[in-house]
Amino acid sequence: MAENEHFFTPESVDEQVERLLAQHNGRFPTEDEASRYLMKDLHHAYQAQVEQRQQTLESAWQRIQQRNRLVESPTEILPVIQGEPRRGRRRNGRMRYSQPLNMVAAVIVACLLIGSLLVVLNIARQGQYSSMVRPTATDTASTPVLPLQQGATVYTYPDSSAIYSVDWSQDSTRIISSGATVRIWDAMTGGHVVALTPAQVTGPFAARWSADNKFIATAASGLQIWNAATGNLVTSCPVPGNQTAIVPLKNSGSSAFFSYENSSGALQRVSAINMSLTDKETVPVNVAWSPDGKYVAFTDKNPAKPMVVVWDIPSCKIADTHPYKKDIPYDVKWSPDGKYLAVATSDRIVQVWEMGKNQPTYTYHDSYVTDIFSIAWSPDSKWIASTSFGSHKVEVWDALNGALIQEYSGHTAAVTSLTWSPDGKKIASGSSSMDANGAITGGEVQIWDVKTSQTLYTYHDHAHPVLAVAWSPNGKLIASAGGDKSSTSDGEVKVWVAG
Amino acid sequence: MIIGNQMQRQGKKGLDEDAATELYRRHAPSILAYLRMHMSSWEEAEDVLVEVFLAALEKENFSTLRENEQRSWLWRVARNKTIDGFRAAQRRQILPLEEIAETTLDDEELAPEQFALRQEEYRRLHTSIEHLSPLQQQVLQMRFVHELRCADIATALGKSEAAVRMLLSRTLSLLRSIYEKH
Repeated sequence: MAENEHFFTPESVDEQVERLLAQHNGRFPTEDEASRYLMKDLHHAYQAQVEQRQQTLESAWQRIQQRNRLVESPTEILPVIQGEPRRGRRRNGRMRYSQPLNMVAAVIVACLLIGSLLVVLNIARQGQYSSMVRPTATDTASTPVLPLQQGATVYTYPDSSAIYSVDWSQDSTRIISSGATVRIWDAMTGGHVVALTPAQVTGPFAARWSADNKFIATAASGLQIWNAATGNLVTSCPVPGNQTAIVPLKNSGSSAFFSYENSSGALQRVSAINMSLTDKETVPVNVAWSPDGKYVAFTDKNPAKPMVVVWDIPSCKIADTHPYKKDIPYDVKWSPDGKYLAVATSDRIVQVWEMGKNQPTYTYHDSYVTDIFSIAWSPDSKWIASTSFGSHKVEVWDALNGALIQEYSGHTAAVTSLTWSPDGKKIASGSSSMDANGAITGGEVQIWDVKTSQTLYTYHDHAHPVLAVAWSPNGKLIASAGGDKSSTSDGEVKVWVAG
Repeated sequence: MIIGNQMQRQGKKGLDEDAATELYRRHAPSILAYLRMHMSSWEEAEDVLVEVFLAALEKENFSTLRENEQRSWLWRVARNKTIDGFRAAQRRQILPLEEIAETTLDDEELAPEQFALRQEEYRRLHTSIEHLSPLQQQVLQMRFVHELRCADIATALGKSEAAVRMLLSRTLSLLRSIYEKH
């Protein structure tokens, strides 16, 4: 026994193990039966973990390379939005430019046509809304309605509660804002207010215009469809399994979004990487029309049975559901071409679904392993921009394979909402502004170039954290909204010149 | 036209692809072993491993550090992120020790009585490992799951190499005694 207790010696245990493992693998003749069986059994006992370890190392390396490829070979990731050839490391890097250049030319021609159409339309509308234009405005042909500087506030809409969602009518003249109540008003004057808040349902609400401008969907714990012209309720769709008990979302307020933003410093940023919200239920629901107006998708956060529900409108028949086990869906958005439905969940993922399919077409994991609260499709339906809550970054990635297109790091606090410019070149992202000590001083919206990730403009005019942001369909204005229910219980929507 | 901060990073002496591969090859196995010891799942450990190496790749002038400086920088980030992970998930239960496989051996070419004996040995090995101290179990995992040598195990455990050598050799000799009559 004494001899065996010293079979493995401290001085050469590494070499002994490696030699025996090699023998176990059959490369050398066996010299010690007991050691050989020990190695064989240890190998067997840990085999499953060895495989997991190998998979983990490989998978981690793939993720690192994927994220780092932007540094290594930008041409591979940005073949289309690249304006000029770059000294790429990949041989076929240059080959890709001939086709996109033709397309770019076509797009420019299309933009010019659309642009001139918009100018004509604006001139027409100017006649219609002449009373709303500021008296000091100097009308010119190029900017018939908005002769103001970038960032100039056109109108401030005050509300008595935090506003979580804003949406434009397709003709860029009306805004629907929703928080504790839902209201529609003229974007440039706040006039002609229509209230759509359903009785006996407590907000905060989300509200969206249908693509044909005829209907409005509002949602809190169920879905309501309204006639946008008359303000009459068209139909009300109950959440499956929740017909009787409509659970109001308690304590909803911006504190849920910003409870982690009070301390400061780099360490806090790093520690935020692994955090997740404790108060997920208080985040308002989200709702999205399919571009053809046939369906509405809704994030049901019922903790017992969280799911994304897709209703056929106006029949209220359930067309599709995506149930989740524990993770709560935060945001839902249809691709502009109507093909896919993207869902961001508390599991720090975005799933891209095709209607009727049981499996997501693609599942994206947040690069910084933090919650993704807001997602937005690029107008061409190719990319998705997602907010990485804890890292304060925005990632733009290929919707079908997750390839990173761009990363934006301009914000110092978590980004709560995103909107693409209609031409797909810029993104406006809403967040909080902070002082040197990391205390929240208000809200801000940053406009940045998707191609370069350079900040183009920062709008500072919010007294409270920004919770929602929407670019007008004509590209000229941005509506940004926010509020702070925790202290002063008020909110606001700012309508300003996008530039 | 630059691709934002990524291009700037490249200009500030980030690592090229070969250097990054070598850095990962050299340090990822032991850092993963350390992370796995402190995290409740492989997925969590993988996420932090990705963060650690991305932080290095995005760090300005990382390539100008000496090799031992790079190594200690990586370990410092890994430890900090692990501590942050604990703070972020104080109530999460950490299960550093994994079950070893209870499946039976499929020893081919063995006579029935030999096969039964081997099964008995395997069962005893299983029981013996379960009765080892947590530290001994961790050292075994580092050696047989993560395939680390004593020096690397020592780094991951924060112990001296001599102590790990002693611990591992004694543990293996102890387990070997199960088989000595065979």
